Amino acid sequence: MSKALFKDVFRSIIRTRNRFLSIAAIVALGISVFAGIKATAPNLKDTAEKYFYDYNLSDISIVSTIGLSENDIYKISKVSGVEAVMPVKSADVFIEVDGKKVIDIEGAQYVCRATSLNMDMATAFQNGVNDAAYMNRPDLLEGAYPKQENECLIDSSAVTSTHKFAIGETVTLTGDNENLKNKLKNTQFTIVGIVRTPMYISVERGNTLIGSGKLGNFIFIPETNFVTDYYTHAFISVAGAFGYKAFSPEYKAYVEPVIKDLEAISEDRVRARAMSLSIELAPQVERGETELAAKEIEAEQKLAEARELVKQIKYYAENGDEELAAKKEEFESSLSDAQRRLLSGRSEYNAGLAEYNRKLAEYRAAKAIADQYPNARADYARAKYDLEEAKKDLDEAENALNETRRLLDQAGEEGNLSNYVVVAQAVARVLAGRAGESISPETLEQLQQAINEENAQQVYFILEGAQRALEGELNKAKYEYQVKEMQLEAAAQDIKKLDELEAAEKKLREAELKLNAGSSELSIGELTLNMRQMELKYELTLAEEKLAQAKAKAKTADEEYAKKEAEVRQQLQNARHDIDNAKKVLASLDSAAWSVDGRDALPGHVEYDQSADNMTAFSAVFPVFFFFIAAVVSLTTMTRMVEEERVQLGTLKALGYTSGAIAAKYLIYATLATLIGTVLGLAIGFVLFPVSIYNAYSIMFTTPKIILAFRTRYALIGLILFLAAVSSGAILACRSALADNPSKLMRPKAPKKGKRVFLERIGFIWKRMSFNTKVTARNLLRNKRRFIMTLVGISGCTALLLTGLGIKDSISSISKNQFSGENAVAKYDAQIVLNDRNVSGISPEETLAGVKEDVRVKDAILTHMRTLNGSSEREPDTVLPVSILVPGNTEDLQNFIKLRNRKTGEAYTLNSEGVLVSEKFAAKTKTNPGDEIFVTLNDGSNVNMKVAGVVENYAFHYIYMTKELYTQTFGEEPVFDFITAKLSDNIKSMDETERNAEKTKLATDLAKRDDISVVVYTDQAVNTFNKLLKGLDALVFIFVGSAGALAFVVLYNLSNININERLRELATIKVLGFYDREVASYVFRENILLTALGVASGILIGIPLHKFVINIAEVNIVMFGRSISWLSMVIATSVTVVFAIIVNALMRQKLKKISMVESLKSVE
Amino acid sequence: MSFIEFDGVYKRYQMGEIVIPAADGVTFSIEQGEFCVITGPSGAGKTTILNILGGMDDCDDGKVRVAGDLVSGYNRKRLIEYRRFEVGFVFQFYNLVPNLTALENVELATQISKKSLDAQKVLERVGLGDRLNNFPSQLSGGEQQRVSIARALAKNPKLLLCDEPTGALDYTTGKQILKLLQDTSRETGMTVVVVTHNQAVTPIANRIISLRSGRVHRIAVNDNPVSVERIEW
Ligand SMILES: Nc1ncnc2c1ncn2[C@@H]1O[C@H](COP(=O)(O)OP(=O)(O)O)[C@@H](O)[C@H]1O
Ligand SMILES: [Mg+2]
Repeated sequence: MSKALFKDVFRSIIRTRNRFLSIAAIVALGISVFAGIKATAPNLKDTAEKYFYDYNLSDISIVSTIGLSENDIYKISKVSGVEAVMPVKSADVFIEVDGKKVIDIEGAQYVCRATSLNMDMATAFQNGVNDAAYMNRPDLLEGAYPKQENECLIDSSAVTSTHKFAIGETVTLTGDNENLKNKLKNTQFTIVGIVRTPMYISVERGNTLIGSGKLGNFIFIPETNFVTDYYTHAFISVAGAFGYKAFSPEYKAYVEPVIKDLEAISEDRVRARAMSLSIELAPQVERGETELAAKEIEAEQKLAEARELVKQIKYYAENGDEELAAKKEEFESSLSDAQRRLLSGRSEYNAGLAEYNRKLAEYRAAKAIADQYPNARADYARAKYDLEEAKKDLDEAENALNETRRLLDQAGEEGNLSNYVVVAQAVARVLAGRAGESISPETLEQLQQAINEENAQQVYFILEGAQRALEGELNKAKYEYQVKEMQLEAAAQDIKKLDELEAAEKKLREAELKLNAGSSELSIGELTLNMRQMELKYELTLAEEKLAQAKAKAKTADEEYAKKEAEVRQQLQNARHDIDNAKKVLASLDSAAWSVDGRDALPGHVEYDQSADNMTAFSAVFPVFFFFIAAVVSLTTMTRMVEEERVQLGTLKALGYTSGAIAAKYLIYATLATLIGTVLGLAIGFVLFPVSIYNAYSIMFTTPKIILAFRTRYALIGLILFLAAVSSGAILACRSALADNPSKLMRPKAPKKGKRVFLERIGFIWKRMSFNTKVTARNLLRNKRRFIMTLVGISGCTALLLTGLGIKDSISSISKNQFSGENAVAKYDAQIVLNDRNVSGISPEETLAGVKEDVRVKDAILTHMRTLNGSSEREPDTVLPVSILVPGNTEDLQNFIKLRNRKTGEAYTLNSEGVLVSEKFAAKTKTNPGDEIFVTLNDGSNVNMKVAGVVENYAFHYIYMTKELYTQTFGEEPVFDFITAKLSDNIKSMDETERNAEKTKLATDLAKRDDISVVVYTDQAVNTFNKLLKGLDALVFIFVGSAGALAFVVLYNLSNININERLRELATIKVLGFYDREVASYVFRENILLTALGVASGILIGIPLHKFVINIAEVNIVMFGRSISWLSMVIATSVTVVFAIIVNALMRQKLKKISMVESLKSVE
Repeated sequence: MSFIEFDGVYKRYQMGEIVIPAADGVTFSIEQGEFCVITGPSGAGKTTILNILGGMDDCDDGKVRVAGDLVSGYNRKRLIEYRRFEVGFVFQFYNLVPNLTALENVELATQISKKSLDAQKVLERVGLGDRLNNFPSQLSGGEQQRVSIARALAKNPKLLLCDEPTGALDYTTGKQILKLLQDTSRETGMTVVVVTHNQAVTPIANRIISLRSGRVHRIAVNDNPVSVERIEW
């Protein structure tokens, strides 16, 4: 190559750097997608393979329902092909942190598998020893290996746990209704390290027989913790198996015979172990039963006592309130009575006191008066005496007078003096008696004399005088008497008063006495009252205190009792469980078996392989399509370039350069662009795609960092293909150009001929079109090459976008179509796994009745399900695992499973004419209604059955058949080992958290029954699918991103060519005075139309492309949804449109910069 | 004041080390309605001056006035409007849009201008009444140039600028085109500026501006321009 040519190439690159870069970019994009996606699947598998090798993943695992003895292990190791055996002890347990049970995201108790770790082997491994017998090695991510027996390593992935385990934490293991002490020495472990293991390549941990049935995580604990003498698992490495690629059919074929050999020895081994177990356990069970019975009686007694106590406390706590209230009331009322009485006594006393005081005052007043007459009584006596004396006098006087008078009268009548004298004498006697007073002694002497003289006259006289005097005297005496009488009267009055006073005094004294007595009585009363009050109050407080205590106790009493009871019952249950376990083991001895599995049975193992294979499927279509578009666009670009430089070509040719030399320039240009693009594309592609796809998958998988590799094969394929595409474009263009003679080349190429487009022939449309539309239409239709290129570019990108989005739709619709959607195939919510009726002693029908009784279950049906390999006469080479499903009740099945043909919409009912098979199975085995299919039994014999219909189904393969047909076909009645159930509407209408809690509770309740093993909800499957989808989101994003990038580059490049080709035309309209926006719309009307057409045809291409990819990518057990959602169409469209808009915006700037002077200077 | 005034206009091109003055202080004026011819040898700066006058290019220095407005001071938008409404441009190589018929090529110009003439009538006037629906490729060079002139005229501009309109044509056709231009100027009073390196056509102009190396060499005013038929070369 001459220096000049090289310079020319170099100058060309600089001058047309945009074009050069866009070719490089397209190549880079194409190659990065092609090689990157192609490399992802092998990278994924290599990463896993290295991981398996480094951490010595076992090839085969054996699990025995009755455990494995040392002897079993020895016998296993002797099977040919077995390189090493690692026996492992494990226990599935609940796990607690800080005394709280760890709960999974579905609300169920988190189940952990505690697995034995042989510390000698682990230590040796740390020291670099690669012991084949040390399998499924923990890969320490953080922390250290256990040094103490009570230290553990924990699973790094615990996606379903609500608790994040950390180094330094202590976890406590508890058994599910079992005495863990029978298995483990320690149940408390300190986390010292965080690990992963190739056993669990995904976040799936598999199933367990305890709790909700889902294993959450694992821990490794030093083997010495196990007190059991048997192993739960045996892991086996097959000699030479690492010589085969992991996941490959060759590997499986290599391991398969060893599995078969192990299965072959299993029967003998199981029988031997069963024998020794029955010898060991049978007496244990017997002894245990009697002991337990005694213990139970004792426990019940103690519990009854405790219950009584609790009852009393509770009774008092409940009724004490009332009693206390009554007491309080009594206290209050009794007090108030006494108080009232005391109060009225007090007022009475006060009244009495007042009366007393008044009387005392009166008395005092009377006494004061009385004291003024101290001699009243004497006076009175004297007066009385005086009065009596006076009376006597008066009487005498009166007598005397009367005698006198009588005498006188007598005397007078008789006239007899003598009488006088007698009278006189009598009077004189009288008088004498009264001598000295009224009758003076002289008178009396006179009278005497007169009498003596017998002077009657005189006597008369004197007597008369005496009579008068006497009369006077009498009157006087009468008066005096009257006075004296009055005086006496007065004195008597006084005395009476005095008497009264005395009486009053006496009374007062009495009253005082009484008052005093009252007062003291009152005081005593008060005192008594106070004391009583104090007493009562004390009593009341005591009662209150007692009540409060009783109440407090009553609250905890139940709890305490419950705790106590739980404890006791736990003990009993442990004992019972031990016995039951032993019994169960004894009962299961007959049906005991080993399950011998290859790696495919490891949780997540198959999924990992499938995920990698899915990538292969993607890489089969996506990059190829991508490559096609990129090649076409770069070819166009090269062609265009050659055409632009035809004058120069002509000149060179005229100067004598050979065609080869001239073409070399373009070849070099193309090769350089391709090389740069390839280097860039490989650098990005080999890293970006595997890493981001792997990251997307890492939500599902727990594997080490991806191993990237430069995959020369894909690099070379990509490079060669692009080089071929781009340089053939250059050569083709050169060839047609160089065919012309130089002079013709140097002359401007005759302008393209204007031609009528077909639209113009349709006059009525053409006439209605605006001028601009006509121009656009004509430009578009005239320049067919550009038209088609742009259309291919845009539609291709849209199709790719749509396919990427559609794949996500398809996969996400599996779980929707199968389980969760409105119109899903599975209308049931749960699968209840039944225990062997021989063990539980309960018939499936009884169990079904029990389950149906639960209000949380709307409807349920017995089902038999077994998975066998199935195939058809037509396609005997296609062997698929298919589940035979037999309903307990034929009519009811359609309430649980939609039996309908997807394409025809025909609904089937199960009958004995034939079986119904699921769509994917039918398609894979090319089966139509009326054909025969067959399944292979464990003994290798085939059982044929006639197909009555094909039913819609999206996950797994099914054969549905009636009980009768099953019996007829297999010669035995189906064993109903499942109950398929629907949840009550009530549960379904709950909000999510409530519903989950309710479901967990139902599962736990049901699993507690002897006849039920575990409850599996369909949404667990949905969850798993959805988790996978999260990874797919990122994947789709990558595809959409790269398709978008391609769309952008293609649009940019094509627009660029479009503008360059029409520079002159554009400059002309600029000279004509078109505004910038008018110039832009002159060009972009075409772009917009092309974009619209491209999008529309892209969608039309995308739909079958999507179908095609789905068909390739689909794994056997699932049927992807066939339709693309509207949203995906909208997104695919808008992404393309957005890119078109961005490209237009960039082109607008370019249009603005077009120089009129330069563009019109000369003809090209 | 004249209709067109160039006042000390400079346009320089930097070619590596050296500066090429394509217009080196050009000063002249053209009156309204004049038919003006700018001549000079190849590379004298004729096209440069015409492009500046037509608003397709800017000058580095100096003032350009058309109808009193300072064109050299126009912004981008005003410049587009100037081209759109006031100037008609005819190129040596016609620059027709190959995808459009003769009529459509003219319509391309008329549809953007309000005061434009009827496209069909203008084409009839330039003698292409029967070739309206022909594509450029179906027309001869002279016919294409007529379409180009029709496109310029149809905008009804104040100023018609033609850069070597006959450069790619044979003698007779060239003459016909010149006649068309002269007639247009006479009939409509439109100011027409024609750039040509052909000295022989100068007698048909009112004003002849000769350029040499980017400078005005001579300006001649011809009060009695001859008719195109009467000249020969
Ligand atoms: N884009 C450009 N770059 C460099 N020089 C240019 C450019 N355009 C024109 N010239 C130079 O300017 C001068 C005048 O050119 P031009 O106006 O086209 O002349 P004419 O039209 O009279 O032949 C010439 O010497 C030419 O080489
Ligand atoms: Mg020129």
